Amino acid sequence: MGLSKKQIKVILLIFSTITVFLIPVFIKSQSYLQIFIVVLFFMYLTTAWNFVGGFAGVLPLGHAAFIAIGAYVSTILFMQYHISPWIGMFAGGIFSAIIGVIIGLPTFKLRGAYFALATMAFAGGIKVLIDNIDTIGPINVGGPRGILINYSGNSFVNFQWVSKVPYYYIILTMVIILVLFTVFMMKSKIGYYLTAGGEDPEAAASLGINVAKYKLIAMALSAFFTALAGSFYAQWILYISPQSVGNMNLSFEIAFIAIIGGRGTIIGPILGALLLKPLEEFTRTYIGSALPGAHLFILGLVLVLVMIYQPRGIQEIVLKLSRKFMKRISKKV
Amino acid sequence: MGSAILNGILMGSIYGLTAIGLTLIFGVLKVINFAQGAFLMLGLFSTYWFVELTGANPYLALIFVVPFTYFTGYYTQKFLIKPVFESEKDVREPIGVIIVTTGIWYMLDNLALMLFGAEYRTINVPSLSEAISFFGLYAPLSKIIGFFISITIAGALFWFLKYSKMGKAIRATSQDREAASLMGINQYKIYNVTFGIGIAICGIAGTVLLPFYYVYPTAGMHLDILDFVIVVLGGLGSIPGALVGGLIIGLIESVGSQFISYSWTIEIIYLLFLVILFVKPEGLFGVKGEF
Amino acid sequence: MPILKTEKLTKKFGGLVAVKNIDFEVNEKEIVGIIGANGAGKTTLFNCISGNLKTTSGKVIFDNKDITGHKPYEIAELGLARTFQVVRPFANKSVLYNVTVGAFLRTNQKSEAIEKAKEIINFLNLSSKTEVLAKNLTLPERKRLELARALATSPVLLMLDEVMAGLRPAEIQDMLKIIEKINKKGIAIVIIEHIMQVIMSVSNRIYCMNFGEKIASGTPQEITKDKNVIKAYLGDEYGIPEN
Repeated sequence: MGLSKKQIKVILLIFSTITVFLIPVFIKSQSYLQIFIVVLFFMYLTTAWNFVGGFAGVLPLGHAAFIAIGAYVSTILFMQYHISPWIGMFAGGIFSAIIGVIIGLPTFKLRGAYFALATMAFAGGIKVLIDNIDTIGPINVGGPRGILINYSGNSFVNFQWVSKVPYYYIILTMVIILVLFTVFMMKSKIGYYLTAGGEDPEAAASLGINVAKYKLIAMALSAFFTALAGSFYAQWILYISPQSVGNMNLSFEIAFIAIIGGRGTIIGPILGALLLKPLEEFTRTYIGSALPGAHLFILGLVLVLVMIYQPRGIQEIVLKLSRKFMKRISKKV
Repeated sequence: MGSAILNGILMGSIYGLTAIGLTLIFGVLKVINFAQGAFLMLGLFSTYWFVELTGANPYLALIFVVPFTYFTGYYTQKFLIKPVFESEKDVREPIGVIIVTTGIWYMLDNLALMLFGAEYRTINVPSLSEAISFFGLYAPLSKIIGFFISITIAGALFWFLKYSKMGKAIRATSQDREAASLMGINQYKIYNVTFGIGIAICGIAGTVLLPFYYVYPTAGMHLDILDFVIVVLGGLGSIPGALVGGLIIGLIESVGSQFISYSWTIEIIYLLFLVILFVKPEGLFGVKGEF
Repeated sequence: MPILKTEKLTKKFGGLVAVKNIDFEVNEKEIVGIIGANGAGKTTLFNCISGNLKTTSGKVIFDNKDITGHKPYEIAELGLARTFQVVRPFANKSVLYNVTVGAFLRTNQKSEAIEKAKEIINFLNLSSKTEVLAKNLTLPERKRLELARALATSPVLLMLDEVMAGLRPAEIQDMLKIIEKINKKGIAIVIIEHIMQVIMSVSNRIYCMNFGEKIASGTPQEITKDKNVIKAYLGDEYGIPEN
C-alpha cells in the first residue's frame, strides 16, 4: 500500500519544518547562521513585496523606503524615547502603511510604468531626505552617518541578544506568520478580488470590484509588513543608515528575487530567496573581491533569462520537478 | 546668477538629449527603458576608452561611439526585449518589458564594475574646460559645444522622423502598430531601429558629457532618474517635451544650487516628479499620438 | 415599469458623435435587443450605461437612481451586470475561480460564494469544466463562462454584448435557450447583436441604431416592417416588400 500524495506532502512539510527549527542547533558558526538569517530576511521581504508586485499586478520599485521607515521609526523611538523596539516596530508598520496608501492613491490610476517610476522616485526622495536631515526639532535622524543603536546586552524588551540564534527564530516566526497570512488572504474574498483586479482591471470592475481599493489594501499590507522587517534589521545589525536601509539597490533586489522566483504565487518569492540569496552570498564571498559586482551581474542576467524563457518564474520548473518526484515516491513507498 | 542660468540652459539641453532617446523609445514601443542610464554609461565609457587609446579629440569619438551604441541598442531589442514584448502582446498592463530593461541595467552597470573597477575616471582636455564668453556670460567651452551638438541632434532627429522614409515608418508604427504592419511595415524591424537610435542618442550624450563629467559604473544612475523626471515632465513620447523638460531640470539644478546644497536640489527634483505624476501625469506636451 | 432608462444620452469622441440623443428603456423582466451595423454605436451605448465610458451629456437612470458618471464597479453593485464583446476571463484561473469572483459581490463568505458559483456553473451546463483553466476552454465555453461570471453577481439586469458572435448555428441555439432560461428567473436582458434572426426570435422589443442614432424601436414584427430599418440595416438581404 502506497502513501497518498497528500500524506507525502504532509510528511515533507513536517520534516522541513523540523529541519528549519533545528538549524541553529546544528550550525554553531555565527557567520553561517547569519547567512540563514539573511535568506529568511529576504524571504520575508519578497513575500511582503508580492502583495503588490505579484497579486495586485503592478511593479513597485521602492520598497526600501518602507524598510527605512520601519527601521528609523523604531530606532528613533527606542534611542530617544526608550520605547521598546517591539512597540516601535508596529508604530513603524502603521506609519509605513499610511505612507503606502498615500503613494498608491494617485498612482494606481495611472499606467503600470508610471507606478514603477513613482515608487522609485518616492524611495529615492526618502533616501535623499534622510541623507539631508540631521535633526528634526529634537529628533536626531543622523543624516548620512546613520544611527548607531546602543547595545545593552541580552534583553527581550530591548530586542537585543549577543547570540544570533534569537534573531534567527524571530525572523523565522515572522516568515511563517507572513506566509500563513498570505495563504489565508489569497483564499479569502480579498485574495480573489486582488487577483482579479491584477489580471484584468476592467473585467474585474464589471463584476463589482473596486480595483483601486483592493490595490490600496495590498499596498497598505505590503508597506506594513515590510516596515516590520526594517525594525528587525535595525535591532539585528544595530546600525542603520540611508545607505543600508534606503538604498535603491535593495528595492530592486527585492523585486528581482520575487520576480525570478515567480511573482503572484505564494511559493515563488520564497523559492527565489532560497535559491538566489545563497548563490549571491557565495559569489560575493568567493569572487566578490576579485570581481566586485559579479553577484549583481548574475542577478541581472538570471532576471533577463527568466523573463525571456520562464516568465512565470522558476517556481513553475520547481513545481514540475517536485510533481515528478512525488509520483516516483508514491509509487515506491 | 546670469552664469548659473546660462549653465543651467547648457546642461539642461544635454539632459534633454539624454531624455530624447528615452522618449523616442517610449513613443514607438510604449516601453520605458529603465536601462537608459546604463546605456549612457556605456556611451561615457566608450568615449573614454576611445580617447584614452587613440589620444584623439573627444568629439572624434563619435565616429566610433555612434555605430557602437546603435548596434548595441539594435541587438538588445532584437534578442532580449522582443521575446518578452511578444509574449506580453495581449497583456493589459505589460510590465515584463520594464523588468527586462531593469535587468539589462543591472547587467551593464555591474559588467562595467567588473571590467573597469569602481574608480571615477575622466579625460583631461584643458582647452575644453576653459571658460569662454557667451553672450557676455561665462561657461566652459565643452558645455557650449555640448549645447550645440544637442540642439543639432534634436533637430536632425525631428527632420529624420518627419521626412525620411524610415522616419515615416517609425511614426506610422508609433501611431498604430496594426495599421502600420498591414501596410507592410515590419513592426519589429522598426522597433530594433528605434531602439538603436534611442541608444545611439544616449551614446552621443555620453561623448558630449565626458569632457566635464566623470565616468564610473553607476554614472548613469543619477541621470537615469533625471531622465525619467524630464520625460514625464515634458510628456512621455514627446521630443520637444524632452528638450523643454531637460531645460527646466537643468535650470532647477544650477540655479537651485546657488541657494541650497546640491542634494536639496535633487530632493526638489524628486518632489517635482511626484507632483507631476499626481497632478498632471500626461506632462506638459504629452498628447496622445504626438511625437 | 422601466428598470433602465437613458435620457438624451450622447457620447462624442473628439468631433465624432458615436451616440446621439438616445432615449432607451428596458422594463423589468424584459428582453430587449439592440441591432445596428458595425460602428452604429451599440457597444458605445453599453459602455456609457455600464460606466466604462464617460457620457458627454444625457442621463442614465437605473432602478430609479441616476447613475450617470458612476464607476463601473458601483453600477455592478447596484445590479447591472454586463459581458464584453471580446470575452475576458481570468485566463490562468479555473472556471470555478472565475465565477466565484463574481459571486463574492453578494457575500463575504467563501463557502457561500463557491456554492453559488457551482449552482450557476450547473445552470449554464459547464459543470464538467469546473476545474478547467479558463484559457483552455473553447470559444462557446468561454462565452458561457463570461455569462456565468456576470450572472454570479446576482444582477437585476444583464447586458450582453454579442454573446453569439463567432458561434456555430447549433451553439447559437444553445445560447438562446440559456438566455431564455436566465430571463425566466426574472432577470431583464439587453442583447446587442448584429445577427438579425437571433435577436428577433428572443426579444420582446428591439431598438435599431444607425450612425449613433436611434432610427426605430418596437416589437420584432414592427421592426422588420420599418422603412428606416430596411433602408439602413436590412437592405436587400431581408427584402421585405413595401406595402
